[in-house]
Amino acid sequence: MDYRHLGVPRSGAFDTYAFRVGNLLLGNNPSDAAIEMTMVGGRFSAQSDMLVALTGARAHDATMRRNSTSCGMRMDSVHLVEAGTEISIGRLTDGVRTYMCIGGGVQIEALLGSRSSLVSYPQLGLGRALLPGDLLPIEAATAMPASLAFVKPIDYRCETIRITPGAHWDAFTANQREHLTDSTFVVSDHSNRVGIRLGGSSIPGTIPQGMRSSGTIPGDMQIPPSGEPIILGVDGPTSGGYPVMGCVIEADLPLVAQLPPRSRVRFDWVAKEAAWEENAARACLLKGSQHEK
Amino acid sequence: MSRYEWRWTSERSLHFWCEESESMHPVSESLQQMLLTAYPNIVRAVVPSAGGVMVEIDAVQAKHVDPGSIAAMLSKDQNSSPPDSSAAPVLEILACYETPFALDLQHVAETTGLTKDEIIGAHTGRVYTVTSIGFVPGFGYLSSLDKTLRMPRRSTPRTRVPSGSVGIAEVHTGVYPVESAGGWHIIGRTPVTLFDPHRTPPSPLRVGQRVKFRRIDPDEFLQLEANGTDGAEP
Repeated sequence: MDYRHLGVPRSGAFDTYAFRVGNLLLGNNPSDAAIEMTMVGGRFSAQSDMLVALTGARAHDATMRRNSTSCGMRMDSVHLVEAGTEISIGRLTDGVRTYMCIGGGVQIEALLGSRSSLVSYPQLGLGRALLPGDLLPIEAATAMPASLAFVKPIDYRCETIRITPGAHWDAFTANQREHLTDSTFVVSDHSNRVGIRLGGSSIPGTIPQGMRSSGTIPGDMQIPPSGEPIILGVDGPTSGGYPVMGCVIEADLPLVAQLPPRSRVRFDWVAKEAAWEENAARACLLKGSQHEK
Repeated sequence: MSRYEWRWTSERSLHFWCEESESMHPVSESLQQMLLTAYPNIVRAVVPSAGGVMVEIDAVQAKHVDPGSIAAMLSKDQNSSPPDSSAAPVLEILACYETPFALDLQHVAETTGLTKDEIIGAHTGRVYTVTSIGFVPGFGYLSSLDKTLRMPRRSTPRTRVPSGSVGIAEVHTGVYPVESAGGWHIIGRTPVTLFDPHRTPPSPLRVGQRVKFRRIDPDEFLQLEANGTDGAEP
C-alpha cells in the first residue's frame, strides 16, 4: 500500500537495513513493526516472555535486568526476554538510530496499511513518538528461531556517500556538480526523519529556480536557494519544487539515516548501473543469510 | 496523440512527462493501480504532478524495468480518457475569512490595495485545479490564484500555522490540513477535516481535482466545527 500520491510519506524505519537485519534474526516478516530509537535509547518493561534483537547504531550500556540479575545485551543477536524483565538502553554510539525488533513484531493498529508512526505530525493521527506508560501489544514468544541467521552489520563510520544524478542534474553547472564531490559537508543539528540538512559548504553560484513541482523519493538531494543541500528522509515531502541535484543510492541510505549531527560527510557521483550493482550486493547480504523456515 | 518522455532521475526512480502539457490531464488513479499491479514488487510508488508522474522502482529490480513500456501505458491512458473538465465534479471547501482565522487578510489588503470583500470575492470567484500534493499529507497546491492576489511568501515563515488555514502565495492557494510551519499568507480557515487516516480515501484531493471555496460566516464555522464535519462536499 502506498499513499504518496496523497502526500503521505513512505515513513517506516529510516535505516531499512538494520531494521531488516533485526527482523531476519528473529525469523519475522521483513516488514514487521519495530521500535526506532534516535540518539538515546529508553527503558522498556516486558509484560510477557518475548524475543528481542537490537540492531543499527551501537547502543551504549544496553542491559536487561530481572529480579537482581542483570546482563548486557549484544547488538545483532537474539535475546529471550522473560516477563518482568526491564530493558535499559543508554545513548547510541557510531550512529543515531537503533532498532528494537521483537519476535512477531509490534502489533499496534495498522492505518493506511502501515504501522509506521509519522512522528513529525502527530495531530494527523498517523501515530506519534512513544511516551512513558505506553503499552505495546506483543505476541508471546513460543520458541527461539530454529536456526540463527548470520548477518553482516554495516560499518556506519564510512564517510563517503554515493549519489546518482537526480531529476534536475542538468540544470546545474559542471562547477556546481563538482563542488558537491570536492567539498566536505557538516550535518546540521536540525536534521531529522524529514530531512538531513547539510552545512559547512554550499553549492556556489546561482541555484536554478522555478522548477515545476514533481515527485520526490527518500534520498533525493534538494538544493534550496541557500545552496546548502537537504537529503530527504523517509518522512520527507512526497513532492517538491526545489531542484534535485542527485539522489543517494539505495545501498547508502542507511549511512544517511545514521549520520550524527555535526559529523562530516563527503559525496561521490556514481552511475545508475554501478548503483544497481551495489544495491544487489547489499540485498544479497540479507538474502544469502536468510535461514530456512 | 500525446506521448510521454521519460528519464531516470536516480537508479530507482523515473520521471515521465508530457510535452503537450496544455492538453495534459493527470495520470488516472486506475492507471496508478494498474502500474502497481502490472509490476508487483517492482513499482513502489506512483506520484503524479502537473504535466507528469514520478514512479519509484525497487532498487534491485530497477535494471530489469523497461521505462518505454511504462511510457506506452501512460500515453495510452492519456489518449483513451480525454479530459472533460467541465463535467468533473468540483470539490467545494467552506472557508471563513473573518477574525481570528484570517491572520494575514489585513496585510494582503495593504499589499494589494484591495478591500477585504474584494480579496474574498477574488478568492471564492475562481475554480482551482490541484497541480500537486505534498509538503504535508493532504496539502494540495491549487492553481491558479487571481492575478490581483499574487504576492511572494512571507519573508519569515510562521512556525505554527493552525490546522485548516487557507493560505495564498504566488500563483497558489491551499489549505493546511494539519498544524505545521508555513510561509503562506493566511486569509481564512475551513472547519472541514481535509486529512483523516480513518477515512477511505483519507484525503478528498487528487492531482487534477477541481476545487472552489465558499464563504461562510463565523457562526456557521463554529457550528460545522462543533458537528465535526468529516469532509468537503463534492
